[in-house]
Amino acid sequence: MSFRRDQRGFIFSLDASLALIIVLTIMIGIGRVGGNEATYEQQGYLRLERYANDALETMQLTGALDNIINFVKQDNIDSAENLARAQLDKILPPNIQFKFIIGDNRLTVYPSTATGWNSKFENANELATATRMSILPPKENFRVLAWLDDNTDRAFMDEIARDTGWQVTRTSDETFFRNEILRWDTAVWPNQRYYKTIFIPDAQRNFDSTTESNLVNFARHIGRLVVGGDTLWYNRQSNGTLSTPLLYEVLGVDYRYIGRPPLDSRNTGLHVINDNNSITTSPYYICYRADYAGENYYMYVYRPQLSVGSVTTVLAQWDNVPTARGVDTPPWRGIIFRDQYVAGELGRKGTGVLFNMRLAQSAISSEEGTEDWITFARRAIYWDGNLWKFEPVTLYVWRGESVS
Amino acid sequence: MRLLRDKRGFVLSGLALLLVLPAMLLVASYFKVVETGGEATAFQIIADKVTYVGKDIERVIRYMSNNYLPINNTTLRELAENYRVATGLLVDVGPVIIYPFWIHVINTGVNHYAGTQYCKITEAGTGKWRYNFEDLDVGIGENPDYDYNEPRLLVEKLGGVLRITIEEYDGGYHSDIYYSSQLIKGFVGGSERNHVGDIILVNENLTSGIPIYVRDPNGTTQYFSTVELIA
Repeated sequence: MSFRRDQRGFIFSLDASLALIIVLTIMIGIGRVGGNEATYEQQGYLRLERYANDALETMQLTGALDNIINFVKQDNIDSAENLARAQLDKILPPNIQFKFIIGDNRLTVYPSTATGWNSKFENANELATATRMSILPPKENFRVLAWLDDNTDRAFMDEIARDTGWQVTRTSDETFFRNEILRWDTAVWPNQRYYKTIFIPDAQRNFDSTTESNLVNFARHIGRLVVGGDTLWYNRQSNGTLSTPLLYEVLGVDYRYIGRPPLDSRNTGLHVINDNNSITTSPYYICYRADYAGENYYMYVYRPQLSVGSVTTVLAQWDNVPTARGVDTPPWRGIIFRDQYVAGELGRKGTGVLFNMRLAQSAISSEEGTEDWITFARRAIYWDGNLWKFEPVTLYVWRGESVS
Repeated sequence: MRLLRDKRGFVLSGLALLLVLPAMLLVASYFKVVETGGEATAFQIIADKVTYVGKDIERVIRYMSNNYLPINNTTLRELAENYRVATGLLVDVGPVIIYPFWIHVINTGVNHYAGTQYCKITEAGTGKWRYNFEDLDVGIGENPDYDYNEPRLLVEKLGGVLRITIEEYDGGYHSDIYYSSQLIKGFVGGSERNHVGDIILVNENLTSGIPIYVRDPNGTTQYFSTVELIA
């Protein structure tokens, strides 16, 4: 058969058809088998990873993550868990499941409280993670006994202990206070003393001799005694015997140089002169000035004992203050730290910190230097290592069914 | 030639071959696309991770500064170690103090600053550091060898003065060395090792920038920045 010119075309022979069918079959097969998998490998895991990172970033930007961390700091785990779950439920799609963890088992949140989530998490085919860092207080209980006899003291203590996780026992009852100072913790064996620090910002009263003796024993053998200037001023004349150390001694002060200057209405400041101690270390530095002001503020001219000078350190001193009428010449000491100088009880360590001022006053009554005073006091109270530690916040996400 | 029955088979004609060849090419291309796409995805995932960690370190350092937490080399090392453990990335944070040294590479016109990947700072004793610069720049198509000796400066703190010794310049380029805005030595290096061994004194001008360097173990993606805390 012959074709005319206008009837010419392509003849699709049988072998060509067979070849085409084979090629098409192979291509479609590869497309169906490899395509979905390849597409998922390229985009699915990336999407999952971005779900995790975007969710944490969203929580960071909206402040929700900070709120959750603050709940954890306050040991309010239920609120932290509810907030984290509510936020992640809103942010992540329904088919994405999550496990949200803060620190070393401080908080673990799944999409619901149903059991079985841990198994789902461990058997998930693929997990994507996102991590941020949080700064949290140490996990162990740190117990503080605080003498707080007015609203300024109480407000100051609230600020100091905020988000620290400390257990603070507050009192203005001297009998209770006296009995608590040397209390034993019978929940541990061998028994340890219950409190690690005693804090008396401004006690405007003369404690009886037993209370003072207990304070002295505590500061010598058991833990950290932190007091403000008023406390020592009202207890400067001890009822103790000569064989018993006195309060000023365990605070590193020479009794001969105790004095109180006249009121001064000028604003003044405290200069850091030692930035190697944990109380005045970074971000403070030598010559850093912490403002101190109030309507009726007092400073004191306590100074270290020469006999224990090797363990007593002046961390900060006052600047621009009036001469104290023959008591001592400026610069007056601002913060005195007395390190351990006799053996502690049961491996404990006795130390003292004296703030030569009405401690609560400037932090609460004035806006000047507030954060500095809170920071100094917080660091002085917490002596058992770092006040904080880095702990990761991790969000795991995976695709899967919910646990009913 | 006549084939016997048991020798019969499919004869691949020229037309069939022409159809099969482009199909094979398409399939090969498809696999290449898949491979490239996979690499790009992996790269994006690593880049995301490195970027988020870098940004988060900046946030944590600012938080520490705002909340009066101690920022020193010990705490920064601890911070970096926590990120390393939590993410598997290589993380360096600090040191706290960086003197504002930089070089202007005369041959290429680029500037390389302390606190970036082109300058490695190492402690050489109390009050002594080495500022080790790399003069090649990946941004203009060069392949830096990161041997960090073009130039290598020994910086010694003597009271309020810094004594700078140009210890080495092992490269063909010439560079000007600056301390902040001050040119402290010009046309250093080259094959003649111009000014190597020279000593310069400058007044100390401290900054409190904290360098952050995050990268994945293979070096595929890197993140650099410097957090300035005190103006």
